[in-house]
Amino acid sequence: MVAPTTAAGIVARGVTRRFGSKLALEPVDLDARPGEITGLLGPNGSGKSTLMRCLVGITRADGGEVSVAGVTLAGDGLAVRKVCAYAPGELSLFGELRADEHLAWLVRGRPRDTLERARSIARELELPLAARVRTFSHGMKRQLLFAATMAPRVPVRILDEASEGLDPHKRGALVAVLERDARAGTTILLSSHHLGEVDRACKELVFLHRGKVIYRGSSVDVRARASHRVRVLFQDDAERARFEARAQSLPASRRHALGSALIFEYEGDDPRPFLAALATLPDAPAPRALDYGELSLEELYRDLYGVEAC
Amino acid sequence: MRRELRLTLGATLAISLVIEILLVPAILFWPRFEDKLEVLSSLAPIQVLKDQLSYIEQTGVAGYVLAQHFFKVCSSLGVLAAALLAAPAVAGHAMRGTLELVLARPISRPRMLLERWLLGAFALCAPVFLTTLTIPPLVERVGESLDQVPLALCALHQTLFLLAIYSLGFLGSCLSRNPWLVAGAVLFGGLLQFALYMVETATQWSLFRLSDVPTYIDVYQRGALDPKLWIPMAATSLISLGLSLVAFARRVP
Repeated sequence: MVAPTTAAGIVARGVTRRFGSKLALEPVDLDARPGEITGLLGPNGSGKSTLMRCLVGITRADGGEVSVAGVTLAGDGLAVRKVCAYAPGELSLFGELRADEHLAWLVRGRPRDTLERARSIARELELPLAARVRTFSHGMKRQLLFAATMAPRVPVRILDEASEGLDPHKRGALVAVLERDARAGTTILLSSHHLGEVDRACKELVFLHRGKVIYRGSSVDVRARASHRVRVLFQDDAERARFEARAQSLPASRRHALGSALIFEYEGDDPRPFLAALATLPDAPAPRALDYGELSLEELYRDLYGVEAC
Repeated sequence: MRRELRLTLGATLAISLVIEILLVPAILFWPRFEDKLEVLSSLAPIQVLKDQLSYIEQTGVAGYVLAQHFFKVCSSLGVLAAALLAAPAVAGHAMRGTLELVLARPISRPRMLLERWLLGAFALCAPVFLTTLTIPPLVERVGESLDQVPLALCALHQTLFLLAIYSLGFLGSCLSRNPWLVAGAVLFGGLLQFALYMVETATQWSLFRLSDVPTYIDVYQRGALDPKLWIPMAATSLISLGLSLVAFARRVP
């Protein structure tokens, strides 16, 4: 086994996984660098959890190579799980245990001081350690798991839907902890379909769809791509349809309808030629509102997947 | 681990207590049973029971205690305990959704599985030995005596029988997502085998022939286990455990 190194992050090449006749992961490449939070995005069933499980050896990949913190994934992935903390997305805990006992159970196999750090993080998150886990809300259970995942001193953390079910305040606190950890040099891979969180926290974004990487880039690149969009909002669908019929001549590389809005992707960095053409479009109904330049990742998400992000 | 140890200790104590509660009155009943043995033999409705009573007639208190403790109580309760201890080992986690958490910890899968198997095996076997230890002092209360060493060998034979059943159930748990299905299959199998044992023409096909009164009387009198019986039982346990390790290594949450 190669000694773990914080300089290595996560490197996956050609990871595939099949469940029966269903190809859950097409050959997937992934890089997550130390000191950064990498976002893994995609709707339910896109393969995020399967990929994460493959990275830590919980699910054996049918093909491909994985290295986590310089440790090559082999066998049941024990060597990788020793240098990496993983929080599953599925949240089923042992309700009969007290939170403190559950933390001890979760960090079993780690050095002794891990439990004390887990307790400290749980206290910071205001979790009642003496209470039984069955009395916890969904969000509190998620935070308990988060505390156990953040406690080990490991160079890599992989968190599947870590903020799912948390209120905005708690979600913000969680992201702040992750950002602090990343600044200390930890590699963090975070899956989510909550774009607000990813937008804020991640440097690198990887979009998965049906087991395939359909887009990847830095969050700056992704924002830039999103900013090349103009959303034109109409009174109703009929107005939008009337406008769309006359919009063929607009200098847009792509367009698609979303309810009573039309989304255009213009070419180049300057929106003025597109806006000028839009303003002089003959016999077109007047838009109710128009946004450009500051469109969010959600627009990109809709564009990539054709579904609303959470 | 503390959680698992606590559960194992609780199960061990509960099973021991139930066995002891059944054992004490059975032994204290011996003098009255001995008096009525002839009548009972004539009343026995089926040949298999007549044979059992005949063995007891020949061997006295030893045959009676071996029949009561090992054949009647430990075998029947043991099959139930084996089913309940083995079935949730892996399938229980799969059903309640905690399997991924179990697998996410930095502990090797063989170690996880062996720990679980050993804890279950302990909860199954320890009560047999613990309650067997209480037999000699109990028997003294009815004016009889039995040796501890051959009784311990009978307990060993009993645990090998139960471990084989437990290991088969454990393998089922590694392959299944439904612990109730596994427990049901083990219990149904146990009942079927017991029913076969009671049928004169089919009794030789029953697995309970490995754990019946003549078997224990033989072990007790010879002061040794019969390799023709204990080796296949131990092999069943080891092969089932090996297959469980293979199945668990490939298990996905």
